[in-house]
Amino acid sequence: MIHRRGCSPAVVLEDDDMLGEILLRLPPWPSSLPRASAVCKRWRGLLTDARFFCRFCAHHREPPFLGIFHQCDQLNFTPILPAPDRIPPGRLDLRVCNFGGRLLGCRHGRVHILNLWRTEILVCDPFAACQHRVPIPPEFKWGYINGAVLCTARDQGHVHRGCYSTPFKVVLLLMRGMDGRPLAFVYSSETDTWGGLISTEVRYQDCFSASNSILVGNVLYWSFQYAKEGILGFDLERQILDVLEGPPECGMYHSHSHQIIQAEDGAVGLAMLCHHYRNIQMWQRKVNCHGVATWVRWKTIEMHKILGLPPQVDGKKASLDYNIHGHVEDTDVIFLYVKGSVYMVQLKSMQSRKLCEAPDSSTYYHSFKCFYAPGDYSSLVHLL
Amino acid sequence: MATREAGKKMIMLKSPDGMEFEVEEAVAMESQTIRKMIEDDCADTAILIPNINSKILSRVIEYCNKHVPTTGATGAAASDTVAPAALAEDLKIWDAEFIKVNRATRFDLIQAASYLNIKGLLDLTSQTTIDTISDNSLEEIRSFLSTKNDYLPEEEQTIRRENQWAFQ
Repeated sequence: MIHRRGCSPAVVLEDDDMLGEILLRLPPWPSSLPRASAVCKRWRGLLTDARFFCRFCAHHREPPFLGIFHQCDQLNFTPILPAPDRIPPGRLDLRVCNFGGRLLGCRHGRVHILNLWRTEILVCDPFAACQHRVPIPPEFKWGYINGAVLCTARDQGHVHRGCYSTPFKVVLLLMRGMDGRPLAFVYSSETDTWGGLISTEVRYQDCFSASNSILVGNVLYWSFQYAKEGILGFDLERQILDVLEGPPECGMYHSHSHQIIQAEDGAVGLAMLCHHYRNIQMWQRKVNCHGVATWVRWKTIEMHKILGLPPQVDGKKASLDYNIHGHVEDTDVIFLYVKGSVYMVQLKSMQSRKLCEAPDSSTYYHSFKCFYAPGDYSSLVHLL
Repeated sequence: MATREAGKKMIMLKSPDGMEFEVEEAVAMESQTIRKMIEDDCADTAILIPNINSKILSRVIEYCNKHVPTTGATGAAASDTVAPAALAEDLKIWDAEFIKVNRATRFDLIQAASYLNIKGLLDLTSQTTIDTISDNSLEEIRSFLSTKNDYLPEEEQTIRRENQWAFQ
């Protein structure tokens, strides 16, 4: 019997396909590919290839949560990962975003900003330092604006990873005082056009809040300033804008004390911070087989049981010290403002950790998830 | 159904060093390469597996034996239904033991999994290799994988500078 000696790593690693298979399994964290690309020239060639990057993203599927965007005057990025995966804000080219506009949100590796003069919106990729400027219809000159951006790549197996050159949609919301009816406009990068005006059927007194949008299934949701007004939902497929009734007993929860979240089984949910009882009440909206929706109390989280938060404040001042300032889509994480700092709270594990000081108690925090590619991104723009 | 259970079709796999392995067809078809040969009617009475010696081929068959979906009472493959969590956990523990091999054997298994196109085995062997090196320094990675650093010092410096934060 012939006994062949075991093959050396070189035999396997000389084959680009097999080396690629191994390197695909590098962790999804941002330092992985830049570090590995410093091993040798051949590795760098492979790791900076756009096709490899596509496979790397598809293999890992869920992009890592890199940090949060927030805005006082300037747009800021706060990384949340520890070294060596802590991408410094300087690595992101925020010049393309920072010109006095208003941050509307982030999704699928894109940052979405309304310019100061309300004449255009910017959709930026802060790593590639590229931006799309989209002029907005003249109707937006007056009234209150919110919006959302999302990737619309439909190819099977596509993973939203920072979808550099994939098509996207922008949904802009408008509320004008005289009309009292929320309006939505949809921009498609594929046709480079805005669709027609979409409106709710009935009038509403309240204005939607400045909070970020939440995508649950195929519906984008925004909060109103007061939870009792319900939530605003835009069905992307059916192109219907509607106001959904909120849970019972939601009273006067103002915009920083309630947050739309994704509940279990893909349902939309609402987390409401009750200052009086010092707890977070979680509701989920269940729709039965006849299409009838009911809000069901899901669970209650006592604030003092969340690990890592500073001691509670007694008395009336408490309502100023605790607020909800955002949510990480597709996760159970919310951002909680507590006594001048922002904490990231995992609602299932009840763990929290401090992210940064928060000089302004009205700022929203927008999570940014993306895979990080080493080298020049310009090749990706054409190939992804 | 009973006859189907009893009449399991067997095929012969031959390694280049002359060893023969009789395996159930379903087990061999864990390899997409062999599956295609069988489905295209290219499989003779025995299939020669080039480049994979008997020691590695027997390990590969051991892996496929463990991972082949078991046939349920209805005759439908268990892969049609969701595997119970306990079964998945059992496989995970088994895999962890299976992959406790030396470096050369692991690379042989990667090569075999790649040629035979056995996704689970390729996942296991490649992931274990990455897990072994991912916390190491560049020098350790090069040494473990017998990879030569062909950068000029200034070239390596440039690459490090490009994403300095990733090397902290």
